[in-house]
Amino acid sequence: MASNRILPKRSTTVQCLASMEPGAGSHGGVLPDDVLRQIFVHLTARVVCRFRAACKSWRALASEPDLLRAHARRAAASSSAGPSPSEPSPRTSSSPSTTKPARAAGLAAAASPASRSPAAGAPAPRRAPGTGSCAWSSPRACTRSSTRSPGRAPSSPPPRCATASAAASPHAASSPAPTATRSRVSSTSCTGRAARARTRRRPATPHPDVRRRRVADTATLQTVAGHNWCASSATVHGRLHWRDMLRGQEELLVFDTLGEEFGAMPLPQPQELVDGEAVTVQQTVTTMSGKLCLLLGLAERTGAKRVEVWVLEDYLAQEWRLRQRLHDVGFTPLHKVSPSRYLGNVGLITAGDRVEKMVFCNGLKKKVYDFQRVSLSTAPLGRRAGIAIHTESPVPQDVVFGAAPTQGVAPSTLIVSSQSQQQRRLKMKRQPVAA
Amino acid sequence: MASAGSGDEKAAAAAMITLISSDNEKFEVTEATATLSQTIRHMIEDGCTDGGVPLPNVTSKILARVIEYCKKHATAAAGEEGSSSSFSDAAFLEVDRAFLEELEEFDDAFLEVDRATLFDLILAANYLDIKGLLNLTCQKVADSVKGKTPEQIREMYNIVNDLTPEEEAEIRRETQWAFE
Repeated sequence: MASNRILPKRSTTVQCLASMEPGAGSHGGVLPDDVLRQIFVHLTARVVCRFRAACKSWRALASEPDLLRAHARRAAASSSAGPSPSEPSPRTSSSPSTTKPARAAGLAAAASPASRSPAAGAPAPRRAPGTGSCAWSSPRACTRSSTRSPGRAPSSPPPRCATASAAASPHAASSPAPTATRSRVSSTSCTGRAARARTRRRPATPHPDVRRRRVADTATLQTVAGHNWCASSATVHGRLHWRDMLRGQEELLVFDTLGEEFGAMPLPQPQELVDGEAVTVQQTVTTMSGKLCLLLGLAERTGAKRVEVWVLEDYLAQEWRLRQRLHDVGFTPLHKVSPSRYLGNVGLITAGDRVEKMVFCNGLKKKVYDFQRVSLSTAPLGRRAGIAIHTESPVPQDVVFGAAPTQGVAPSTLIVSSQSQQQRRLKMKRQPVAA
Repeated sequence: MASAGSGDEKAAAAAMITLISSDNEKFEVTEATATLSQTIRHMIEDGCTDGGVPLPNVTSKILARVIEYCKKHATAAAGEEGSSSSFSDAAFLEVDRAFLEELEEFDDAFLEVDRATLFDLILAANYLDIKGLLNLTCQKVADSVKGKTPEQIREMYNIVNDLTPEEEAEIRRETQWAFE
């Protein structure tokens, strides 16, 4: 495409570049190896393989394991959002109708924390104090009156996992990726007060407008997602889910890590809520006991002091259920951020089915809201720090605080974990840049 | 270049960083702009930016372009930071979309350079560790080479083929599919 801009050979630049990078002229003096690696990562495997025939150093470069890995990650993240809603995942290549039970079984396995943890290489989930208390202790207890899809697996026992997560690393998403056939849509209702949710019958649509160019790899995808435009993110069922500010409140953006496809997933649309005002803003998505979880009303400006916890009970059937209402949240808006900014990842610390604490960050502070004590504790975060939550984290409560730039940073720049930042800093100190 | 900042970077405007190109031209930028470069960011954190940051690998021509990029992306981020919460959600979404599109357009226009400049930008982005710019420019190069054969690549980049005919044949045999 850019052939009209290609300079004639023996351009002065090539020589200039070679002289600028004394140690990098071995393979034709074009660009240093690490830059070539970057470029190779942006190419498809086919092209990289072809370029192995260019010269020896390119052959060596294009065969490096690190490059191949980076390339695989890059390809996974930036793969075409082509129109293939039939989800041609290699493991589930047969037709949806015939594989439904198998998928459901896989789903159950994926949704069960006990079976999920080893796959994610995670330590056994900790038991929180108060585990086992009634799941429906909210004054306005909710019962479910929805229909179940025929393909649904037997419901798993109440999770003993005490933690939930958002933004698990892509490696944690090693569970089989069940493909959500959006044929069954069910509604839930609450006995106390009618709070109906409907998920729309909408097929997974490809999103040609996903700005893939800004995405470097899946880790970047998540951090960018969790940071700038897409608000919170969560990884379940081998898929990355995140709220996209541009998509609004109605659906989640979904990236299938196996099929390498983008899609969308409808969100429940509560119709009737507090004082006639629908809580349609300030959602954030997270996970709760391995299930996708939507928190509503986190930072709403209506003054209603209530947060709703919706859980996607059945991924296959797209069956959302209102699990809990957290009343008298004394500090709304929890996130004092404008809607255009991210409503970042929120970690839930649960006991049984109940949310006990909520961990989040508003760009300035880390906050832990305790629903039992009705207290909010805050701790300052470093400048440009943010929060990422991983199930496989070794630290207590499975919460990791990493560096996440929140200002003065382009959407395309990625967020580094505190560890890698340390490494980089060490590296930087060893090689002072100011000559 | 010294007229960076202005109103929308209030907090950061106080801290200015001086960058010195290889040909000794000085560029004064806000800290918010400069810290898009991880390299400079670490230098700021380590407190070794007094008296300017010499960048012996970057010419003033390229540095000006890099700063242009950083300013745009930093200002955009800062503008978004400072947006008040009195607008409706719809307005915000509009702002977001407009902002994204504007940034996209800027990036596209930014890449309209000859190959020499593009390479210089890549080297500068690599040296300064500006992830966004590096991705952008590398993608551009990748787009320009992806349809090429090894022969064309050699010609484009002045690469001497140091593979023996046997080795080359073997590579082609190994990954026949890539050459079809």
